[in-house]
Amino acid sequence: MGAGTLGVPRRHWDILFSSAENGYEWSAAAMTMMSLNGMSVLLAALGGAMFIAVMVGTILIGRRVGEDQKMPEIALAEPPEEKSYRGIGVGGIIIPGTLAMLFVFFAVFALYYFINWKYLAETWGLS
Amino acid sequence: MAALIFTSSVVLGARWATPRLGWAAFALMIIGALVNNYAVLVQGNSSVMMTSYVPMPAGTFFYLGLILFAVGALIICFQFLGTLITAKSERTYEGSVPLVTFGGLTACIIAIFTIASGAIILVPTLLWNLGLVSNIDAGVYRLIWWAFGHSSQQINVTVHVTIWYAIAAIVFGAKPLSEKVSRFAFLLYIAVLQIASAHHLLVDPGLSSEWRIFNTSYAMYLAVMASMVHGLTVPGSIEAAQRAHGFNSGFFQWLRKAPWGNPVFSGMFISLVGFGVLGGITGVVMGAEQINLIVHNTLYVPGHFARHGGRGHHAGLHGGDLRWCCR
Repeated sequence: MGAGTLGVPRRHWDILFSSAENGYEWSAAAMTMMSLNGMSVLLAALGGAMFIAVMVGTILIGRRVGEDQKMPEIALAEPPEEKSYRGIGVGGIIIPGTLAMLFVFFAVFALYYFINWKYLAETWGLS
Repeated sequence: MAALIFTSSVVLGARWATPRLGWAAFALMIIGALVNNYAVLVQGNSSVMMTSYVPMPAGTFFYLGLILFAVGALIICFQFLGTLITAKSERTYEGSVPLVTFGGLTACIIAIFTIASGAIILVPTLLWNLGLVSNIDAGVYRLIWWAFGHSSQQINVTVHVTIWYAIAAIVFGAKPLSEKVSRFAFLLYIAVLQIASAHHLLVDPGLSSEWRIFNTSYAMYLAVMASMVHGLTVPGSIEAAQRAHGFNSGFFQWLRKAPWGNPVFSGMFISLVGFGVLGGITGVVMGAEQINLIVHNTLYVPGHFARHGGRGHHAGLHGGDLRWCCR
């Protein structure tokens, strides 16, 4: 995303214009982020391949379900008893952790939104 | 489509309506995908990419493959509805359908809208390709195509959010903080997500700024709000359940003591953060007409949907897959 913010285009077979006659030199930051992207893609592809291996392996050589079973038994976690919900939380707030994360999210959201407007304002000057 | 089978037949303990027809639908989807790939990879005459805007021509098999796939998916949608009717008549559940099935129903309704939009525009395009229709307006094509193209993504969004709820219930025994609010948030998806598809036309000519700003910003924010409701209630319900299980100390003991070694939970949590925080925030930035122009058609866009789709859908859905398959 960072490389995109610095202007690297998509939907082009040569996004860095490396072979264009009138080439364009992208900033070192954009190139660094593209390189990081390349390495991350390899890791993501490896993760995807591992996932497929686990799934296909499970189907082919995994533990078999019972004779009359169409699918394995899904072990459901025991729901907490109703009474154990009483008195949970901090200072009367039942889910303080989630609320704290929510406020961090809102702060990041507002900051990111502001940064983008600020960035837009800087793309041309008013004199 | 697999999630539709799970959220109806498996969750409700009901028999799947007309299973043989289901295999036929599955075969249609596979044949459709292969025919489409044949046009792109073997024939090599369909380099129009996914959006396939007319008047750029693709091979006949390109459009035919898409239509065959869509017919297969549509059959499964109606089988899902048939299974709900069977479950109701055979009384495999009492009262309203469970929230997870409700999420599946939301995805099914969005899928039917999506496929109908695809049929409205792709069938005439196939006829145009065969020379039976003389002209298709490029602007109209793009408008209707995106009702199909973006909404197909919303099916995945709805399904992965449904899987979040399922995983919270299965791994933690959690119950929604407010089932009514969660159901309302699903209804918001049906009402406004499709309108938000218009953000793909953000810089298209022929549409007024008012139309674009309303559809891509204000309507989209209602959909974003629905996602934020899910993004709050799912971890909130997990936190409440963990605290009720005894992990009640401080702000984050419930999260520290969560089963991070279980890929079902960790996949789902990565999905929550990737979709909700990174994908969501960048989506809102791109949906605002003015600041979109900083990043329009740059690598930021695939960056956004890698976060949104990749981390959100895949981590969530695959977490679900692991749950059902790898025990």
